[in-house]
Amino acid sequence: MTDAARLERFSAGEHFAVHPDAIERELSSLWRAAGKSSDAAHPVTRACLWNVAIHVEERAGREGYFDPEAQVRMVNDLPRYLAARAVVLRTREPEADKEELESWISANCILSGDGGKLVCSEEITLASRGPGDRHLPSLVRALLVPAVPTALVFGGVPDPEAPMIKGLVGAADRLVVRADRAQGSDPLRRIAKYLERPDLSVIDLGWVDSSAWRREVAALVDPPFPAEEISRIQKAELRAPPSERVTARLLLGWIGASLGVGLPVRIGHGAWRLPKVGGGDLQLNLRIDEGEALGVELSGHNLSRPLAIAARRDTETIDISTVEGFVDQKPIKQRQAAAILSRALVTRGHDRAFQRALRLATELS
Amino acid sequence: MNPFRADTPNDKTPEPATIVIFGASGDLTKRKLIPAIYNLLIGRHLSRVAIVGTSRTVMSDDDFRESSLDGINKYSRQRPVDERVWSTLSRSIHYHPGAFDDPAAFVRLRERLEVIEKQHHLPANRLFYLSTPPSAFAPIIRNLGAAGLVRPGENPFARVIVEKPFGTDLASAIDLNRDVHEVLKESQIFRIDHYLGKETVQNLLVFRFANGIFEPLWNNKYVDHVQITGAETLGVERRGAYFDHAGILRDMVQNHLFQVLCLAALEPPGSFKANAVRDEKLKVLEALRPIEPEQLEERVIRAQYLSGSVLGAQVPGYREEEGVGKESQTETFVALKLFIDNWRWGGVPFYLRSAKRMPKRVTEVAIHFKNVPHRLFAGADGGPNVLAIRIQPDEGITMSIGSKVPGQALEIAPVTMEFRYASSFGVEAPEAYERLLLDALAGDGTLFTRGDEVEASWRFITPIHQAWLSGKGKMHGYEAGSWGPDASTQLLGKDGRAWRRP
Repeated sequence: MTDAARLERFSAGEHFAVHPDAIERELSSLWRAAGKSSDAAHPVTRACLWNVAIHVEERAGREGYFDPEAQVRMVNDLPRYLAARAVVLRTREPEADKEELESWISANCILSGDGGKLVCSEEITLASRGPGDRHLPSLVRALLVPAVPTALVFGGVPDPEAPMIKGLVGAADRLVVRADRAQGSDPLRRIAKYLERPDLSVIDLGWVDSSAWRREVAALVDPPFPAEEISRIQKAELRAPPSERVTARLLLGWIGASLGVGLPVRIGHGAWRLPKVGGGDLQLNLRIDEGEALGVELSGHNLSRPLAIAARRDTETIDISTVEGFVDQKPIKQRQAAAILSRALVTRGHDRAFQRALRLATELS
Repeated sequence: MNPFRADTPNDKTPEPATIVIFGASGDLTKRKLIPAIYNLLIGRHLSRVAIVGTSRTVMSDDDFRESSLDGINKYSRQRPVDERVWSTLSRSIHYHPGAFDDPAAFVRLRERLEVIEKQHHLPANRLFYLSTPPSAFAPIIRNLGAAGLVRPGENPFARVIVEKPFGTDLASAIDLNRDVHEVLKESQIFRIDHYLGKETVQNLLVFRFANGIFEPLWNNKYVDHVQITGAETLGVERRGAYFDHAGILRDMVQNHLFQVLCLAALEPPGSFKANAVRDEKLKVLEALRPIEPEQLEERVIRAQYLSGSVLGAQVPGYREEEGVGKESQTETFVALKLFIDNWRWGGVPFYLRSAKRMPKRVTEVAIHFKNVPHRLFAGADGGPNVLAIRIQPDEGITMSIGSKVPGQALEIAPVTMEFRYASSFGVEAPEAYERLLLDALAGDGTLFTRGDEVEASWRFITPIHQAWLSGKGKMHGYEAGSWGPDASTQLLGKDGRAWRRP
């Protein structure tokens, strides 16, 4: 196959099998070919702002993971939002007569709007079988593009004590998890364990995806709502369907951390109390029911109006009840998984609001 | 402080407000303002907002909504229109006809705003956008004041965005500032220069002050000269009559290019707060060495385009354009050699050029570094390093460096390291008007020009224009589709330099 043909197939997304120790060499060779093809109809250029290592768990029965193929689609779509070298880590069951470790290279390309250049992000797939996963941490370390940050992405919340996970997390600047898709018990507590490493910034994709909802909650107490009435809010009741139970806890933690201080005390089933910033108590209620929209109602003593919003995923709207008799509806544009991931990477450093919400949410059980 | 916005420093979501657009029947509203508001809603940057268009033209709410939808369909960067977002936005759009010079119309406007705010449950936060001819600025602001629509204070707030040009010379800018300050505090005034809303212009500050390696080189010890180019392929289009009165010096250099110059040359501000940045920009403008009438020929070149070919199309000369006088003495090209007389830039020339009917549309700043003090590789020279910051189009940064050509001989060739927004970030940059509207709603004046800045720029520009009016300064000609007259080449050539080909 000529260099030009190989490059064309590579930039069209075809996977080329390559031995792990030849990955960088093969990629370099392809980019050299790209450099020579500058007079082609669509010159190819490579871009990379992040290393994104994504774990795709294909072994049955492993806790804390969700839909491997959705993870792969997210990688393929990512260059539309963020240029990154993606290292896809597929962990599989052992198979007789199969190598412990296999690898492929490919590219995810987009046509840039400024003259028809193909802008490509590299994708390296490492598939391990059985104990072959012991090779993955050191391979990932070898394959990171220098001088750009590294994100480690999971489709759930992995066990922080698992040896392979420990090895991978050690190479990362940012850990991206998805608690609302996680299996197993108490994913929020598992996330909290990762916060113990101060140089690792941790973010949850469900949290990022809830930004529109949180903004609408914040807007409830924007003017003309009188600022002095905020301290009169005494109760926050959050309702959610079972599928959003984990996110609901996180959001209730955020509301509690915004209006209250200290840690909550359980006062009944789905009910907690914690002290408020200006004195008095704030009651937090969590109601999980089929058919509920993800919503919150803030109530209190002598409030000039009730404060409530509800977001229905099926209708893609947020209903805002700000004043008695007045209901507004705002559309929520559903973001693609890759867009949510790029949002999770776009800001550097820690998300303090998320950290505060998580700390309180872990106590709401 | 809204407790739910704590720990979200980058959340600029402004308080709910009503945006009142004067000149709502005009092109800017349809092409830029309404699409900008629509895109801000799509991006979830606005919480609740109502829009009230006003102008002399009589039309209904529905007419204005239809015109707004047409504008979004044609000019929004996010198309096709999202029906659900439009449905929300259209309910918030209203129209109120009225004359700008009729005080009673402003009383009626106030009453209408009160009704609309009640209808949408909005506080009395108001942002007035003056998208009108400059002659209407002072009467509108006077009438806004008389009708009690722009009382100072932040709760609720009343702010006014004023489009360019802010004055046509120093005297008119001073007069306009005086008129405006009779009614408004400076913190309520947002003089818009849409160049400052461009990502790459803002990136000039980020590039300089968020990276440790460039700032130590950013001075007369290492910089040989700086070139700033603002080139358009377009002619005067249908604005012949307006442009023939203004000219490129006043239409482009006094505002856009001077703002770029300021950001390229300013000292590090103490913070990224509005007045800290604007104080430093003002110092740059005040340090510009004036161009005396007798220096006009050696430091300023003006020219008009002649007929020629641009991007494959034959185009007429400037004096043949509709609305332009046959004897017009208005410049469509200007090149200036400027000096900033301060410690950092002493002796470093800043060459600025701006023109219509150039071969390509481009705005860029190019920092030309000094050559090495001793040429180690005799006969081989990659040329000086140039750092070029491209503002539009193909926004990005390129750095040219000398590199050995592979082979037995020691040859050096310039190669470029390139960063392009489109390649690196994938996502589309927001339109300048989106950022500026959002900042004005949030009360952040960093990317707007302050009254004293405007006066300082006119103080420099006005004597040049007046000298031209008195017949000084030769008017050169250049072929449309060329990079300007020979005199412009000579402006740098006599200093042993050459314009960079952008």
